[in-house]
Amino acid sequence: MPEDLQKLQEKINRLQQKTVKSPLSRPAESSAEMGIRAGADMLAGVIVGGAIGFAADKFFKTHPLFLIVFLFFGGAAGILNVYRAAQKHK
Amino acid sequence: MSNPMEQFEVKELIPLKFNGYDISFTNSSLFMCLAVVSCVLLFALCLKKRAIVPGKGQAFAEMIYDFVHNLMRENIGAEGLKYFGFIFSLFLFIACGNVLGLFPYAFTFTSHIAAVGTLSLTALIFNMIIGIKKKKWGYIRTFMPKGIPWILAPLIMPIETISLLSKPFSLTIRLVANMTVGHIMLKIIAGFIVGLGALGFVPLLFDAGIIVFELFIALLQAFIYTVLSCIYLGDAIHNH
Repeated sequence: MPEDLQKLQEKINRLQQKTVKSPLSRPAESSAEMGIRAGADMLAGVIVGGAIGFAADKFFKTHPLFLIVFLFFGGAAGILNVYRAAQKHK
Repeated sequence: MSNPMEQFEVKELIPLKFNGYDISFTNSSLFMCLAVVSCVLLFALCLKKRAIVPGKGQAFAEMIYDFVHNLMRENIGAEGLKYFGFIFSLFLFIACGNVLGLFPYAFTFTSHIAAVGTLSLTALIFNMIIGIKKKKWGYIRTFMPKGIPWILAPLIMPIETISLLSKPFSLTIRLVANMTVGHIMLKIIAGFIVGLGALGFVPLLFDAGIIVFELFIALLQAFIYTVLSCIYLGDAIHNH
């Protein structure tokens, strides 16, 4: 390979490495954004858990056994989601 | 002052009934169609001249493409690029919906849980299908991570299931809440412009500033929705 082509290849490689780590592709999540995310995650867990419990109760006619059990599961799932998001953020 | 919630009302444009279900063409459907049309038009017009050295329009289209491409490569990895079409359409649809909603008299369909929730559920089902296709029976491991004693299964499995199901819900809440809040704020401050008479220019300036900020939020929220969809898709492909 002629020398100028090799130089061009090097330049392309260098630029490609730069684009992979461009700041645009993943801006740092601000603290407020993290907070909103944590709040939404926890809320979503409880709501989905409650909905599943409510549906199960309606199906088995065991009101309010499953609602209570799944509300706790939902809360646990919400905390788990927040914990995982925080672990990834570190 | 007019009701700030009025702008979120779904109105029937063409009433339609099918088998007892109401499937009317509403203003929400109209703006979804407009969002799709504007995405397609944007790319059709920008990429009309396919030059090797891109012009302004082509550079813009390629910038959006590269942006989503890099996002997927970082969050899912090279094997995730197969599903580029899905994530790219998701991003464009939501971004167009958010931006279109900022126009006066427009309807923001991304401020409705029904619209965004359906989109998130579609993404969830898509992720599950890909996960099952990729890992076959190993997909059950999602609900029962390695290293947990079997005796804890009745406790862990419902928690993991709810954790998986709550992800699209959390995505939906975030997008919907952000869009709703912004539009209500714009409307309330706009109501003061007339009410204050000669001093009305103060809220007018304020509103002008907010609408720029809202434009930023509209794109940022579309971006966040896309990033998180990417992360969830990555979770479905890789093991924890």
